[in-house]
Amino acid sequence: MSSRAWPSTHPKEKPSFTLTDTSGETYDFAAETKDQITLLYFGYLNCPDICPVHLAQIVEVFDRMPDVARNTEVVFVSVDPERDSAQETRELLDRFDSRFVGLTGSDEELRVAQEAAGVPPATVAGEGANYTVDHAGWVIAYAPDGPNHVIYPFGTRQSEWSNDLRILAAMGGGSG
Amino acid sequence: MRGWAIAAIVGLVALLGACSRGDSESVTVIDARVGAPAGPNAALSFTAIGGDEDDRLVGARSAVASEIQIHETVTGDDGAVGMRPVEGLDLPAGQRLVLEPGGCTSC
Repeated sequence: MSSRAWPSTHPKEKPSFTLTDTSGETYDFAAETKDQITLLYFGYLNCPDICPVHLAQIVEVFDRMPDVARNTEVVFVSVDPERDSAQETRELLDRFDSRFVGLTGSDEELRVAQEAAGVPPATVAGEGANYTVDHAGWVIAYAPDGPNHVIYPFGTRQSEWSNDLRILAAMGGGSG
Repeated sequence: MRGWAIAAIVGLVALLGACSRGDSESVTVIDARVGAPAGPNAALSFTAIGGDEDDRLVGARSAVASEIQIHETVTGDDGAVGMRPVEGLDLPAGQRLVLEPGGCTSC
């Protein structure tokens, strides 16, 4: 097997947490993404490397699979609320796909969300305005039926995304 | 997209200059590209091929970037990834120095 994606041998149920979207509205993750394939990612706008590559890759896969894309919610959680304003987060996501959801919250809300999702908590590295943020570098994919059957580390090939998303789409859930 | 393409070209020229500060004149840079930025920072990736003598990449400048830093991507014990600044990278004679997403990048 050459796949870099990590099939979850013990899939975790979709986490419950509430954050704020780029419109300033409360976003209940479990409720809003019910019955949809959901790609959850924790990142930050100043990230020059991992974050934009993941987002660009998802867009390219979606371009080839519009039917799957229609029933897939992409949720980007900014773990850098200090610098990432709602407007800037929205502008960033719109550059990739205006359907992508952008969330953030207080430090405590983000801690709860990351813990619920089972990812390491983001931490600030470096000093001054140009600090970087250490964060989970993988995308968690939840099937419409809830569990996270696949985790995509950085470097996952588009062919793997494409293959898996079709399988995930067939895993129960609603009509979409 | 046009802005990013310009950044890639300018970055390439800047890096060629940076790599050629020693006596070696045959350092070449190939496969230079700038990824779509998520925010104000973008990653510049490229492969530098060493010349006749050992050299070292110590920095870069670009007219379209306020600053270019060399970073490496590190993974912590808990799996979290982060970026750390690197002061320079050796480019031994005839060897390849690959700066790529997830490894070392200029940004």
